[in-house]
Amino acid sequence: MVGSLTNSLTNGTLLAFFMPREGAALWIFILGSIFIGFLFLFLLTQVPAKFRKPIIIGVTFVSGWFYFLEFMIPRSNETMPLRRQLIAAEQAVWKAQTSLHRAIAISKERGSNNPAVAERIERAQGYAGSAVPQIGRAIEAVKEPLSRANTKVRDAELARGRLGAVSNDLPRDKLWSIEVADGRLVRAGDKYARLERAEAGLQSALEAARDAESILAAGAEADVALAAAKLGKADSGLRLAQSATEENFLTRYKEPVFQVSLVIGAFALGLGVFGLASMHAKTVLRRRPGWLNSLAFWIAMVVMLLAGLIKKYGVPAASGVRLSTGVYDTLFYGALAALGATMFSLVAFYIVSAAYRAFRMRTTESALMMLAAFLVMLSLVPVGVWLTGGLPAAGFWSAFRLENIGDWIMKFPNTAAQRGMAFGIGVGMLAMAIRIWLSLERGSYFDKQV
Amino acid sequence: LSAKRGRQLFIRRIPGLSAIDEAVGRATEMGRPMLFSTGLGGLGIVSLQALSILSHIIRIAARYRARIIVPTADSVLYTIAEETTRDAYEAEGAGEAYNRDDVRYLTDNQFAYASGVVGIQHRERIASAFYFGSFFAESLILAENGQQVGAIQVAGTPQITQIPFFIAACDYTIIGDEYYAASAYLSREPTLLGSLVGQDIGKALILASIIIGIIGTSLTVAFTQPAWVESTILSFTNAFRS
Repeated sequence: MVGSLTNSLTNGTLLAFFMPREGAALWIFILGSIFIGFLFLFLLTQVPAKFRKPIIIGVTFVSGWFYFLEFMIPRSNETMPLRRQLIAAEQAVWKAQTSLHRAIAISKERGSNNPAVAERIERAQGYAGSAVPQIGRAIEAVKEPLSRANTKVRDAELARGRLGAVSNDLPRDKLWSIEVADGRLVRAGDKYARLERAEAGLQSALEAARDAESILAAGAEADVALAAAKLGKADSGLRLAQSATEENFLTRYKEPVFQVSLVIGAFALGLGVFGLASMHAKTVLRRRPGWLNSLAFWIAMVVMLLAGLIKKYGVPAASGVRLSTGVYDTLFYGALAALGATMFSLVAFYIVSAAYRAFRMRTTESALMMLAAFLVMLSLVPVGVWLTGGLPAAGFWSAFRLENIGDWIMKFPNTAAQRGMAFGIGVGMLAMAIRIWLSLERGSYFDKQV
Repeated sequence: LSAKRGRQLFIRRIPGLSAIDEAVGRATEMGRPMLFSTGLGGLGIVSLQALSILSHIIRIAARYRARIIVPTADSVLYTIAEETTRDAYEAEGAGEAYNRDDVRYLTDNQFAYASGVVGIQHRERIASAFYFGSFFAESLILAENGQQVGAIQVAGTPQITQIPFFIAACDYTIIGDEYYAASAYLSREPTLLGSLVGQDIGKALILASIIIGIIGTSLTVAFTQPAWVESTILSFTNAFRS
């Protein structure tokens, strides 16, 4: 089905619907589209709940499959040999980097003269040395798809050239054919540019890996930091090449699908603003308590709307500066941004009052929390450092210096707790996503199993 | 599957979720409205979970004809929240109690939203407040103002950085993955309970892999790197030899 849709699109039969129009035809098309859009929305609201829910379930299920398949389906066969080489090269670079990082750590711990450092550097050199031919093979592998892409670009250019220059005298179907040929040329050009980027990334990776290998050849005297930086550059080049080859036949539809969700969001924004405006209008008209606030809302909305429209479409003043820009900027930066900053600054005061309540020692947990917070706060201020400044800076007793205690609390118990929560949240989110995808979730739409 | 076959699965008590009934009951007794904030997040997993909890709360509220105000910061979420609210009222046979104006789209601007919600809290003198969804710097502003008006507050967010603020300012806070256990905990549906157990098995597997990783890395480091470990092992070996 996807194949036939793709053929329809590329042959222009489906795209013909979106053929450029002008004059009365253009207006009929715009009004017709709006009418169809509203008709579709109206019909959707009229669908009984028992049918609406299956529709939502179906759309959710299909959308979920789309993203799942886009992620899971292997990238195009054309670049498969290249990706194999890329993975092998990446692994070699990664191993070299790991060996070097270990060499740096050992050097800090036991000194640079330690034999383990030289051993790690030698190992890193070996891995960097094996990465070089692998990257070379990847460069060879990219040449074939690059050459094919080049041929496609030339074919597309020739096809476009045969259609001639764009002119207003041309019949509409001819103009449309030119547009389709232009589209093909752009797509072929995109693919070629992507593969060119991959080749450039690989060339840069090759150069960096060679540099790293020659630096590491000096053995224990090698400039380890420079070699690590070169390996980092090689890794970046390989990543660039990989990102340039990550595409399957569904990837190109990701953007249109995203556009659909944007259009739906735009409709929803209109509904949201309409709902808010109508609520405040009712409050003003019926003189409900607080109607002046609602009036303020209406005034603010209308003034800001006008200021925005005049800024966009207003006539420039003689000096070339739009007068309306000043009004808009005053309202936006002088009022809205300033009010936002005021609200944000209130957080400082709320932190104090919330901390006061949280740190009252009513339970063992709150006492522990207060103690930990007290130690961390004290470790961050000069007086805290001064209090335990008499303890030695190194050795066993240095662990009892307040700055070290604070650092330990933040780095170990705090990080461990946060990571534990992050794992739980990640698994929970995955389970929730699967429940929504398969419509097993209850509550927002699915109050009972469908 | 085992949950569907009737096997009783144990879920530990989550005080924050158990407190929902208490919060709704308090608002009903006081005759004052409740507030449910979905935070700043757009349509996504976090917000959909928030809407599941909202649906549950509205069903309880509808039974007592209690009023609940739902300010949203995302237009797409607003439309879904509106439908969820209406459906929940209708499901409880209280369609006439549903007030369309109580589900509001305020703005997508962070602090404008915060000031809008704070305004509602003070003007309506809310009795209970629920904060479920994605929250950022506005979390403390909302929770502290709720506290000032004397509302009983229940919060839940997967945002690790905002949890301390909610713990400090709210009466009950749902922490970490408890947030995603809410629909199973509240509905007690066998399929959802099963998925909760699946979640726990997943966490146990991750924990096991972490422990294996820690042991593996520690052994590698201990037996190959630090000189003091090597010398200690050697001295022990020599002691046994002698």
